[in-house]
Amino acid sequence: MKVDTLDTSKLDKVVSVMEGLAQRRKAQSATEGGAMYYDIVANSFRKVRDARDEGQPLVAHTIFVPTELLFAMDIVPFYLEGMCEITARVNGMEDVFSAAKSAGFATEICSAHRLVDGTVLKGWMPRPDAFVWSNLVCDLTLKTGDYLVKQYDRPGFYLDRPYRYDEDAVQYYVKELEALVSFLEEFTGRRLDWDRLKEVMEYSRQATELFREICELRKAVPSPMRNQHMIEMCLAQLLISGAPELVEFYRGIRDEVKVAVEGGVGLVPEEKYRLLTFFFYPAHIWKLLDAMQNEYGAVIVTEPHLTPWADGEIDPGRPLESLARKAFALVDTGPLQPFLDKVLREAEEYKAEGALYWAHIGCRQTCATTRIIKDALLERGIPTLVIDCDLADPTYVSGEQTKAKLEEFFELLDERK
Amino acid sequence: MLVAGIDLGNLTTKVVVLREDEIVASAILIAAGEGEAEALRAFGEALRPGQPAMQDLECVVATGVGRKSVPFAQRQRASASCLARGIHHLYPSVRILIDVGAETCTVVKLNERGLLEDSATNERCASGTGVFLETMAKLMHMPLEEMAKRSLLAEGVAEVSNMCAIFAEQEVISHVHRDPPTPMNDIIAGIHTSMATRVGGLAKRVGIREDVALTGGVARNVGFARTLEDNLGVRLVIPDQPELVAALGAAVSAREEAAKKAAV
Repeated sequence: MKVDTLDTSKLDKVVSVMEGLAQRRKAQSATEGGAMYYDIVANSFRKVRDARDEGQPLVAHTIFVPTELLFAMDIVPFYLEGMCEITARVNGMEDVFSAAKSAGFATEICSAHRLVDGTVLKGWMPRPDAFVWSNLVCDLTLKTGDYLVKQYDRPGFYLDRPYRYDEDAVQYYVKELEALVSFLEEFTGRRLDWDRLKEVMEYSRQATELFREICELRKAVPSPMRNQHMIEMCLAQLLISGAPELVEFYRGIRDEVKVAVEGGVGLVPEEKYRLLTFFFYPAHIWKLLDAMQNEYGAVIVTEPHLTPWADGEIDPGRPLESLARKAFALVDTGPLQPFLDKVLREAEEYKAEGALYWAHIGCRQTCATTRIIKDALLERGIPTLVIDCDLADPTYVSGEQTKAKLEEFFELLDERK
Repeated sequence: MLVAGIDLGNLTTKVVVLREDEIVASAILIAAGEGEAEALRAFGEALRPGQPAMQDLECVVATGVGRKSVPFAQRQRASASCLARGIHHLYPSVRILIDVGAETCTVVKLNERGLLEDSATNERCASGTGVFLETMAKLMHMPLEEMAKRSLLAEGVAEVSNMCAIFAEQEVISHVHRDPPTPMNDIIAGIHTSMATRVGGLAKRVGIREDVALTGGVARNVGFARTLEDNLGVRLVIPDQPELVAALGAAVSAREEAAKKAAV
């Protein structure tokens, strides 16, 4: 089945919804940082929608492909997993899942990928000029790229990141990135301007430093950052890493958090539970994050899956090596031990007293490590609530059921105090 | 000190009244109608003439799916922590409790003080719950009690799906209509094995540590209980009134609340 007819009016709706949310957030938010996320999303969708009309090459990519290289070549990045999910959520998730099912994708397959396949099959996304994909974060990402290249009948490039992190692996990945640059140059007919890449990498460096600073500030008691901000920061990074807007966004969050820490002011009047969380929250659960902090005094102090770049170093003078090392900062996609070490270290540094594990039913690798991480945390006196859920499908587990489990878990935490 | 706990489940409402450590009244009501009315009826059943009166109760704690619809309860508690307290009151050596009710299956891990350490609940499918067994009993055209005993007489175990109650139903039908048909006792043994696999799997997620208790209405099903013992490799502790453990735990919690109030 090839994608023939494209209906980019669906993107108009997304842009409109995101703009509306940005306005609402600005009206609610006392600070700029908190308001910027939806602006970034709206802008990213606008660029993807308008790329063809504006004569800009459009490259669809899977998660963690370095957008810095794309920005440096004035290529519009189209982040597949995130943008397809948002498009489906705004325009009709059931239609998208149904399209994926009709194409033979079983419901046991990760919903994030079914949303990509389904959104593409519905013709709701513009036809990209090329694809870049990798083996991050899983083997399904790898296959999704293969599938989309066939569906859209466009050139594609696969980035192969080794499993283990060592110097040989970094150099191997640098070669992969060099080959990616050649591929991008070939199909765009443009040469990479290495000075321009240096500028882009400088933004990436600033963003990484701000990210690290925010992570450090979050160690404060009481917790100074809204529960929802880290997932927004993470998604913004996946959309526009290397863009000045990301630096601006992070700076806004950093300033907000810094003021709170310096004033000794917490996110909530009475902080009752300090929590680690694992993996991505299902999108339809996001509003629960506010309820957790406002109704229960439950603050999320860190998210080991979402904060890999806090330890990163970007050297604009060594762009490809920096990007390669950044890819290896994703320790959860390599051997378990380094990730487990990070989890236990952060549990202590952030004074966590409980953990929530969003066990996305379609994610084999995340779910495979649930018990090991849970047991390791319990040895340190930190209980974990494992919430079986689906990353994108809201019918798998309802918000009410999740809330009931959280209430039960908070009772458990109360008894341990 | 007189306190009470009430457990509003999917099909039944249970009440336990405690005076100090002793259960002085209890009731199990097949629930119908909305929460508060059921709760009051259950208390009416438990507190008959000669028993203490509602106004004598110093504290009431509500638990179960309907716990938020009991306005006269001083506190609401999640089921898992009430189950932990309840079984600890009866059998302090228990460390894992498996509660199989009409529509839910909950596994609770508790410590030596009866406090909740971990829990897991069945998601998505009724194939590990009482409703599954009731459906199968109807399919087999026999009362649940008879079905429970007959699996102990089985010579073999028919294969029955543990992934989905509907698939299991289809498989049972095909066993019955096979030529020659699968022996009835073997089908029943298969049904119990299917359910024990599901429930046992949930328990293993939490981790098995003796002593292990089985509670909820399904604990009265001797066939299922024996099959679950085989699955887990442990002997199960089964209280005399397994349906009342959560309500008992809620009453224990009510006693704690009343004591805290008295201390202030």
